[in-house]
Amino acid sequence: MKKFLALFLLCLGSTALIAQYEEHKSPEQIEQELQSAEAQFQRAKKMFNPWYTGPLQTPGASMMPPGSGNIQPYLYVFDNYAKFDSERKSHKLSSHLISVNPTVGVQFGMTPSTDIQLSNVQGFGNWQNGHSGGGFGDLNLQLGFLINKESRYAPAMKFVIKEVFPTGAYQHLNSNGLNLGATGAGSYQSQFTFAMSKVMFWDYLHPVNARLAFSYVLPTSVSVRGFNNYGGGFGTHAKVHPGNTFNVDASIEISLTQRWVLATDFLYTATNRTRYSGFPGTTESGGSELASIGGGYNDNLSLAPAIEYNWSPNLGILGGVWFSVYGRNSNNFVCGVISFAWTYKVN
Amino acid sequence: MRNVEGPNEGASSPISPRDKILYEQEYRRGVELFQRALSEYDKADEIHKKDAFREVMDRAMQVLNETARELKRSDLMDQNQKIAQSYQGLQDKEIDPSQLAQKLKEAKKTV
Repeated sequence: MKKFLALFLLCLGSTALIAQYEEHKSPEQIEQELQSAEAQFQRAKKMFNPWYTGPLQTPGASMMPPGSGNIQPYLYVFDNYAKFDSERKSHKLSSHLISVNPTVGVQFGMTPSTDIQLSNVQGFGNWQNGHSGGGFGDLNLQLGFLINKESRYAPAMKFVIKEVFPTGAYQHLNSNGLNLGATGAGSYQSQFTFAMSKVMFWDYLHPVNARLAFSYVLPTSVSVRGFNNYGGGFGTHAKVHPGNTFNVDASIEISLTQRWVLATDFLYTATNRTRYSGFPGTTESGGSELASIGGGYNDNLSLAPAIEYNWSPNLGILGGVWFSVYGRNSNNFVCGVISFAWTYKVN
Repeated sequence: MRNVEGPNEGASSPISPRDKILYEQEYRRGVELFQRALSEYDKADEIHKKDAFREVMDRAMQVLNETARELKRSDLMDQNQKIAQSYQGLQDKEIDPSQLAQKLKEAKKTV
């Protein structure tokens, strides 16, 4: 027992001696520490509060403070030049479908943990094969709830409930079968989104803002007549059951400077088969060949690189290109997007 | 390269006049660095920037402790303890930055 005690005391004494030895610092060693700390101070002074407008698609998790508002119009110009089939092969369209989609969203802070947004107040103009159509689209209203405020290590987290109101045209469309007048889905859609975002200073002078959002959309069934957004034809009288949609959106914004930012979205959307019940209509008036309604499971993976310029933390402009890279039963498209965002005090 | 002097030489041998001057200069520079980092910390409104200046203050505090220990001056060690307490109070949002700034000002006068 005494041997163990002696050994223990010896170890303890050795540790104390080592600690004492390690604690001693020569003036030169402390000088190095000072220089290193001074260099860190100079780097820290160059750090800036990053300003962000974008990215183009992925929703953020930050809350609009109460008493503040934000308005953000977008202009999308789509060129749907091909379609992915059920085997994921892309087939060129004989005539490109060109769509112009101006939209605006308005957001207000209600409480520190709740905000409201009237989003996608939008219109559509569509052109294909010498024909055109368009009009006012569906309206969206969403409520955002704070789950976690961003801190040094934890991301901001937000839960959003969005309701889509079918204010756009979706049935009794032109009988040319192009459905260019379709500007809405015709169904109420409830969307639930969980979003996260985090600013990271891996490099003091080039902070990075990362976003990740998962959402699920539950649409109601919709009664359709004639040519409609889901297909149909002459004499269509049916009830369509749109498939549920799952989205995963991720984005990264890299500050080149406080004003200039590069951004990229990675977007994946998948929708279940859209079914129908009733009479699908015919392809020709008085004909016997049945028209088709709905469609199979579809998905699409797309990217949206963009560049931002921010005049201030409250005002910025954003432009980029959104394009599909992979899909099934979905459009193969390229889209030019421009947007600006302005945040202001309401009172 | 590691210092080769023995443990007793470093810890208890009398400090040379040259080293005494150097340690005192480093103490003063540590205080000045702490003061500048505190001022920037107070101005910063972004959490990561605040953290960066907090790390500089941590390192400056380390320099103050090391130089006071090498100088074997108990008055500086007491002074450092007061600074450390105020610094902790600042991080706990219990005291105003000006109170810590005052402690640093006093520390600078003691060397």
